[in-house]
Amino acid sequence: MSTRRDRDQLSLLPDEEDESAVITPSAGTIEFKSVSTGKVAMRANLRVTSVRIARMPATNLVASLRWLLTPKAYSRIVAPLIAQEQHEYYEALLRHDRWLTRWIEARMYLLILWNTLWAFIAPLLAGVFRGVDG
Amino acid sequence: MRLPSGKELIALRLLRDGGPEMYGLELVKASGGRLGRAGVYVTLDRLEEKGFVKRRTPAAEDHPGLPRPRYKLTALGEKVLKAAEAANEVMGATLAMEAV
Repeated sequence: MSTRRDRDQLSLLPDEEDESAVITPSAGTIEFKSVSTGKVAMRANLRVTSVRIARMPATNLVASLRWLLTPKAYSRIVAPLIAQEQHEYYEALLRHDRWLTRWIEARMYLLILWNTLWAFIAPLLAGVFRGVDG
Repeated sequence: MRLPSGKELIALRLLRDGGPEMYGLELVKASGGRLGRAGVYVTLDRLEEKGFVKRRTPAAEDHPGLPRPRYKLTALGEKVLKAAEAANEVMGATLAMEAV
């Protein structure tokens, strides 16, 4: 149903209320409909409710990981992983698959955590085994 | 020279048969579950360290975000893979003869 505010925005609606002119456009759209008086009704819903500026996940995390890890561990293990997951995220975003994007984002953070831990643990383990061998 | 492990051999075989260059995820998909998402880059890192594969990271991608590196087999990797496969065949034949 139209509110007073809506009607203020919509200048082309006929003055007399016509049931056939009642249209409910979705957010951010303008819809037209011909009415019995021969005029065209226009209704706009300019309130934007579902627009989100999407940014690649882990963008800020990349800077922290660069600082935290050795250049080798970052460039060889963590960066390719982030790149791969960001690519998949982007593909899911293009398909408008919201649940898949959320799943990819969650999986990405888990994989980053696992690989970052591994980047810390692996040199320690290598040192221990070298000590055992030597 | 350190020889490739089981997972490293799988990755080398896939890189030889899969095409000139492959992404990490392509290797995961082609391996049919033998290589995991979490571990594939650790495996590729080891192979790169041994000189069996070469990594090439493009300057930019056609999508926002970090560029995905591509991996390809080196001449040394190909030789090592051939040698490992030949060794496996000999070992398999020997075991088969012993079983008889």
